[in-house]
Amino acid sequence: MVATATRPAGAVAAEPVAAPRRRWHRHRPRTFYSFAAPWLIGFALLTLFPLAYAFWLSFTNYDGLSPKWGYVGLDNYERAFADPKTWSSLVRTLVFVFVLVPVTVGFGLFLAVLVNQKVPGRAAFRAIFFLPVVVPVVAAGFVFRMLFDRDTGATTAVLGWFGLAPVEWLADDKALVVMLLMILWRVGSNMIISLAALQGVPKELLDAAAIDGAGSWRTFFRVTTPIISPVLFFQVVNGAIDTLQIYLPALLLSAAGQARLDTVPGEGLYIYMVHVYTQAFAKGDLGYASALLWLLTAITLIYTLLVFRFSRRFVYYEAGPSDSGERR
Amino acid sequence: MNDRKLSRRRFLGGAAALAGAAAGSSLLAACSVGGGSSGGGGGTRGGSGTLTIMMPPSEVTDEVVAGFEAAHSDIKINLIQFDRTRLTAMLAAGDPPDIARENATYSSFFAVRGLAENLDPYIQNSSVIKESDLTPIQDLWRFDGTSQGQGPRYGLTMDYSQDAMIWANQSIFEKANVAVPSDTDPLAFEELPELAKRLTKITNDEKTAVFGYGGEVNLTMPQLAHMVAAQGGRLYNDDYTAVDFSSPEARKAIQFWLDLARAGVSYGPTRPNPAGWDGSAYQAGRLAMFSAGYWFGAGLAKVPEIQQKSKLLPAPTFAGKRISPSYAGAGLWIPAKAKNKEGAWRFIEYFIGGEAAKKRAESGRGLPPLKSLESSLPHDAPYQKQWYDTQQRELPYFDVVVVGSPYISSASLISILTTEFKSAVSSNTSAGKIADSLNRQINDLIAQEKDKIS
Repeated sequence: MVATATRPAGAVAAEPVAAPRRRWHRHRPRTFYSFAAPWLIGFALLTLFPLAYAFWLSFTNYDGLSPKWGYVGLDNYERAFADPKTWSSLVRTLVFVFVLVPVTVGFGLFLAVLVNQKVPGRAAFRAIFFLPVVVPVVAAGFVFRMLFDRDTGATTAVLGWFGLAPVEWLADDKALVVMLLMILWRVGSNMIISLAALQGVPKELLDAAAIDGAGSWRTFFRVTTPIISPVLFFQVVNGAIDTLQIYLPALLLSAAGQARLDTVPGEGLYIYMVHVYTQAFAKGDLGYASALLWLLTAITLIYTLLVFRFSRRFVYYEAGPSDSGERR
Repeated sequence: MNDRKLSRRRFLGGAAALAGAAAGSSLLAACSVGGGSSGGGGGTRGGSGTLTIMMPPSEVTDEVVAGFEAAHSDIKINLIQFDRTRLTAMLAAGDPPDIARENATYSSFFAVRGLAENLDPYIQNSSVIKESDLTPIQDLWRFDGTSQGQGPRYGLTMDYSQDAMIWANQSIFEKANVAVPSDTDPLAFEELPELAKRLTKITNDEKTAVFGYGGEVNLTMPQLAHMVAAQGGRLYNDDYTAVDFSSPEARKAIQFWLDLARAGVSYGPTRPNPAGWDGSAYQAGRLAMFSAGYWFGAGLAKVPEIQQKSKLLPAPTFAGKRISPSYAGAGLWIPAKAKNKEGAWRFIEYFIGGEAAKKRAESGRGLPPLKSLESSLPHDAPYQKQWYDTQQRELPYFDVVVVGSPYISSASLISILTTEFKSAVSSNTSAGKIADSLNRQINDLIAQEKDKIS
């Protein structure tokens, strides 16, 4: 409009400059939806529909093969609450979450601080610590079975140096320790995330703390940690959700890379998702397995809501949702 | 300028349409599990077109595919890896492969659900596979709606073994100064734990250098059904709607496996094998005895020193009836909703009665599915002759032992039995308590599943 009004008299009539922009603005919603539509359609068909279908299945006795199946009401949910294996596997999983998440986040941060120091060869150390993350989990499972084998494993050799007898690591609850170590071995991903956060801490704040006489520890806990707290919080939330859904390492440690439908981990590795896997694929009870998964979804949602609520006390957002800048 | 705007709009619209089409086509592709098998509509015309086979490539090898396609130029094989989850999805979607793999022992599971094609009409019209030429293992594919072993056939075994037989590494026996058992008279089950104990070698630092026994040290339905049948008992009632593990025969069998697992003479639930399979420990010279059928001999070719020192022994027995059943009898079946049944049958003829079957028999990879192929088994080298002779003496003791109820899957049974055994071995649970728990779990499952079958 402005361009048209200020055009010099006698100037050659030209296409108004602002007109395309106006038309563009008019079509912006349509353009947005055109670009977003493929994803939205995919989301509806590949996420929402399966979720709704799984919810429906949780009220049936569907197994995929039998001709007569149908609605069974809340039977599957009642069964889940009455099934001692549901509770024992859930407790084992929650213990695993409460041990593994703080350890991986803490150890990842520790490694990140180490490799953030200006020391010779730090790029090599970063690569070494991150390397296990790129090793396929199947290969890692096989390696850990070999490492912890009672008769031929490296751990037995180490125990032997101290005059200790071989330990059957892969049976009973000790297998849970091996699984924890196997996951901890891949802590490089946490390290990378924390390292990125550490490198985003403004140098002037660290300099100011130093000028004020704060030592390294004080600077780390009073300046660095609050600033990177959103990143640590992200790792805690994501780590817990991922850990609640872990099942492949348990199957691999039970079956030496030959995990099959009928693979049955021992008590130590019988975590919640293994219980679901057993019901769905070994027993073909897809309706019951769907109910178990919806229970896990509910637990995950409750956990996430609680953590978000609690996070206001310890997560520092430089500019919160209200842009007030207060500690949240 | 106007053209530019138009083209930009067209570009945006076109891009969205393209993306939508791509997403849509990938969705459709995802939904059509396994793809079609009729190959341009020709699949139902005498079997020509594409034939979708769900089998491990180690069994349907490139050579088999090439040989079949050369002999049947109108059929193109689409081989997909055997995957039970995928098979279930394909069956549920009504778009199954044309041929799938299954063990004869658990074949009634598909038959009772109406998922498998009756092969009797095909056999009656076949010039390659004759009813009279079928070995007794093929009776395990029969199902009359209630009982396995009678009625129409719903599949055919490609090869099988009498899986309770024992392979003995004679070198380990010699080093332990233990006499190798006879290959004419079977061992008693009761003798096995003590014999295994004498052969197990523990090092000074308490590692196990050699295990006396290997195999499936676990509660498995085939092993239990065999041991119960050998004592004259049975696990199932007449219509396969209930199991009974509390009979003296069943409890004796359970006790045998508990004792063996607790003796520390083998891998098992409390001593998991890091390789996942005891056969590799035998091949590495770390097992004195390995319970496996004749088929295992073919796998010893890669370790000649073990191959030549391996002696095949008859299946152990309890005092009672000497029987030596098959625990698997792997074979092929045609899903009832397969699109290319004629082509599937032509492949079965080639694979079970044709050139592929002959080559498999000559390699010693299990016992052939047809009587006419039995003489093809290798028996030139001295060790091969010993295996062959022992196997020939064992054949008359073959018996059809039903191991599964049609109402529940093999994976369900394995899951229940293995879980129970794992917790029982490390605790002091008695065979009686295990039996009661198994009865409760399996009978509940059968009752639950039976309701879903019309």
